[in-house]
Amino acid sequence: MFIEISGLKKHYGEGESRIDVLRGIDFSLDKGEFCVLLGPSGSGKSTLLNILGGIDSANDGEITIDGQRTKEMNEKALTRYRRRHLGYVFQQYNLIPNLNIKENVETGAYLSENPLDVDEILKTLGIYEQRHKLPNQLSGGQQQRASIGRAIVKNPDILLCDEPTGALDYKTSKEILALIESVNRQYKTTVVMVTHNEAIKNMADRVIKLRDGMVKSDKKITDKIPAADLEW
Amino acid sequence: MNPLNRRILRSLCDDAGKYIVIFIFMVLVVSVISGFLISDNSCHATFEEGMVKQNVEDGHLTFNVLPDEELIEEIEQKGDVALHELYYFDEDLEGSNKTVRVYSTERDVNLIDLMSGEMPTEADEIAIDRMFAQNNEIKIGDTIILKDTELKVTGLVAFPDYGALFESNSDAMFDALSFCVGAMSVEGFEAFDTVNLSYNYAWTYPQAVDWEDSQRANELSNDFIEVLEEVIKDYDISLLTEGKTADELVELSDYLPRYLNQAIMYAGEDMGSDKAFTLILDYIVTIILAFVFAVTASSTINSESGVIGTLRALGYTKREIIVHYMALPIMVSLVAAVIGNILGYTVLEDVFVAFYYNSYSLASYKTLFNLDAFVLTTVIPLIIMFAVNFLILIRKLRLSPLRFLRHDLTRHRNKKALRLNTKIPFIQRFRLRIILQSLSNYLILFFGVFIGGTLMVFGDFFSPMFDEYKEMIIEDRICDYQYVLKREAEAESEQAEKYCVTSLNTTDERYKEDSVSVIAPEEESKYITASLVEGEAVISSSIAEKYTLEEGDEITLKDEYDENKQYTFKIGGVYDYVSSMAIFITQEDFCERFDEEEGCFNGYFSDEELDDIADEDIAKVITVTDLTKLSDQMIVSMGSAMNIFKYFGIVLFIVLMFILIKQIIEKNVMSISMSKILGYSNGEIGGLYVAASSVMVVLSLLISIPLINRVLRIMMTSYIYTSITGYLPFIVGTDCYMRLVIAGLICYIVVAAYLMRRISKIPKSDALKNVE
Repeated sequence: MFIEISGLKKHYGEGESRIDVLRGIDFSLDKGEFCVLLGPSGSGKSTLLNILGGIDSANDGEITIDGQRTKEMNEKALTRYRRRHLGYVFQQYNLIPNLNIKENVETGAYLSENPLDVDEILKTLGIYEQRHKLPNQLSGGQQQRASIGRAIVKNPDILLCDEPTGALDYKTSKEILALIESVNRQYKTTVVMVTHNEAIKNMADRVIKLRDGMVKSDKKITDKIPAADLEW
Repeated sequence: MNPLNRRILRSLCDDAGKYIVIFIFMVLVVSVISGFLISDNSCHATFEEGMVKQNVEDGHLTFNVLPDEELIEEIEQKGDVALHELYYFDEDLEGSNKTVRVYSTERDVNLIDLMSGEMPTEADEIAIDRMFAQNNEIKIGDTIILKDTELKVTGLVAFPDYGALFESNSDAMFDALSFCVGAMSVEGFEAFDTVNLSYNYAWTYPQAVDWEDSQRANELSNDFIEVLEEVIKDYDISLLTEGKTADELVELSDYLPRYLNQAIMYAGEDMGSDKAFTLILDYIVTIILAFVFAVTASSTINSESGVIGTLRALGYTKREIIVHYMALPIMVSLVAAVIGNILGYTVLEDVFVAFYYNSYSLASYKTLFNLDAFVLTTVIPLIIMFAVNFLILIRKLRLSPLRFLRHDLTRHRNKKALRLNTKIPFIQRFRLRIILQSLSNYLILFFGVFIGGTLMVFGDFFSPMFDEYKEMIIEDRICDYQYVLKREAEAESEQAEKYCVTSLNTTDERYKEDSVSVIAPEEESKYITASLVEGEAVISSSIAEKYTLEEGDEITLKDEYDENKQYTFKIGGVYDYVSSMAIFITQEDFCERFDEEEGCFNGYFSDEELDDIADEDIAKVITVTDLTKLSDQMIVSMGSAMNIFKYFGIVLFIVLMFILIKQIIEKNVMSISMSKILGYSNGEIGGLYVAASSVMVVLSLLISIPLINRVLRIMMTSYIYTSITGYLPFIVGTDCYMRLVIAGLICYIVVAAYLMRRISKIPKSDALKNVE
């Protein structure tokens, strides 16, 4: 198994104000698998993704990635782990406002020992023509493409996407999903995508549904639908 | 290359306002303070060097009559000193009441520094002090008239023993407006017809003296005066046995060791105390600078929170982030430090040197590199800037990337929101919330307003204070002409009223030794209306305030030349008299204490000039002009320096208001944007955010006023009173504070106008784009 998660628990606060966000999550993923984490608000899916991405920590349980246990990593090692293995796409694009689109993608390439070609990525993402523009000169969809470019140019082993289409319209959302799908296919990148949109589950290899901090169901999808054909 | 580096110049342009303010502030701090320290150090070095190079006396003494060779040799031998003849005479400059003290150019001590022109060689030529010439617009080639004698000014000079132009050592302040020293050729000096010749001798010890060691200097002086008195006493006995009269006996009319001579020491001490004062200012400003850096660093991190979170999530290390966010402030500070130093060594140095040269008669000087100034004004602020930015970044980066992504950078979350009374109207509550949220900014703002205000008032209150002091002196003066006589002489005028006077020195070691006139007026004097009681002294209000004395206290004074001869007076009251330090006692008390015959007198009070007293009998005449020369001199010499403090204060005001209030607005960009979406107009939003700041600025200004007054009073009593002789009243006019409030508000309006513009430019989309 490439990613193994076992007994993962997370709570916020103590005593009366304690909220258990994850109550013991167990699942594992193969390399190159496209996994969708599905669930309503407050089900713990973003928290799970953040722990997986090493930007939040669990209270109990452990995550093993390619044989390495994240629990045993100190802060430096976690940074190194994110630097080498992870790509992150957020609902907010968080592009650097005074770097142009190409330079924003280059901030990702800088971190990698074997980055992909920046211009190629920009072309693949369909924003090559806009590469010299600043983020505020682009639409939301184009900015999200740039943020995906920044994440995948590192050629990461794992691409973590937190509601990447949450702020986008239907058409643009489908384009973004198609992009992530092609990254998964082309670069064999393991993708873990958090969404509350049920329709998206159909493009994944695995769908894990969370409710109240627990895995409600864990299904392998055999009849995947291309992102372009998704409807909601 | 790290692609983040490409942001550096763009960030500078994007946040130009903030960096320009930091830049200006740093340039100002570095240039003004280093300029001052460089000039102070260079002038002080010139001064110290001059003491050695120009062979400055170790002290001087004056005889009442021409001493013969035998006496001089005896003194030299027994006192183990060398005496150097430095006779002089004082004459008024014709057409004015300005005094010129003329020496001969021939001398082997107190060597004169020729600043421009030539030394006099003919009998009708004179070289005069540069400062006096400058203040009175006398140029080389001009002619001055002393006692009907026309003298051509051939050169402008600096006497090392008159670095500060004190006519008398008991004067509260030097006087480069109406007192001058000059030198004539030997021929001219000897031929000059004067009755005011002073038989003055400078003495030098055979060994060099460490003047810093005041105890040793005091011992040397005491030993010498003991020998001197002994020798003169023996000499006078021999004169009496030869049948000479009492008038022909030799007495000392002046004895002044160098360490007590204000004309020599004042400039050096003033430079030293100016340096101490500037260093205090430097420390305060450095603390403010640290605050400014902390606030701007914090503001940058807050506004870049999302970017930092993403970069950290992508795998950027803390080190990379720290280096990136420190690069710009360090670059700006370094450039500011370089420019500040260049200005400090050029323009500002000239300004401060001019300030010293407008006050003191210093020899020609050369600029010296000042390592202390460089460390204090450049290295330390840079280190502070580096450390503050570094610590804030390190501290903030301990938070997880997630917290940055969520824009949640507060370390301590308020468990409960403060409840506000719902009876308070909504808008007022909104403003209160803004104030509570930004309390730390407002606290720094208050601190800045207080420091800036102190500097402004400090730079502003001296000039009106001297004006008012001058009026007080004129108002409280005893009479228009106060005569001090060398010997008893009768005056016919009805205005003339006899009195007795002697001079004693203060003994309170917290202060410099003050000369106090002990005055005994006639009973029922029309000039001094204090009610005098046998056995008690009435002290002048100047002594009462400076030494914090009141009725019932005691004051102990000592003889000018004999430390052990002390006189203690019980204070029976305070008399409104501020122009000098004086105590008033009855004539009976005076005669008893000073062993004088009943009915004696040595002065006249008069409201008209007394023509029937011979010049030879008059020691000095004190007129209103003499009394007000302190305030006149201070106005001339302090003006330019005070303006620097004033403008520095104003800049400090603007800088802090701008940075702090801008940060409050930036912290609330989302709320402002959301308020716009809800339908609030720019005016209404400004009314919320800018008005909250307005309230705090006005409050800070008002709370600062009593504090500033307190600080200035402490400075006056613990700093100024201990570093000057004589008295200055502590008066800060209400108009000074009015000007402070008005200047503060004008600065604020400028800042507020800019921020209103900034508010109007915040787009509505900000709230929508960034919503979590």
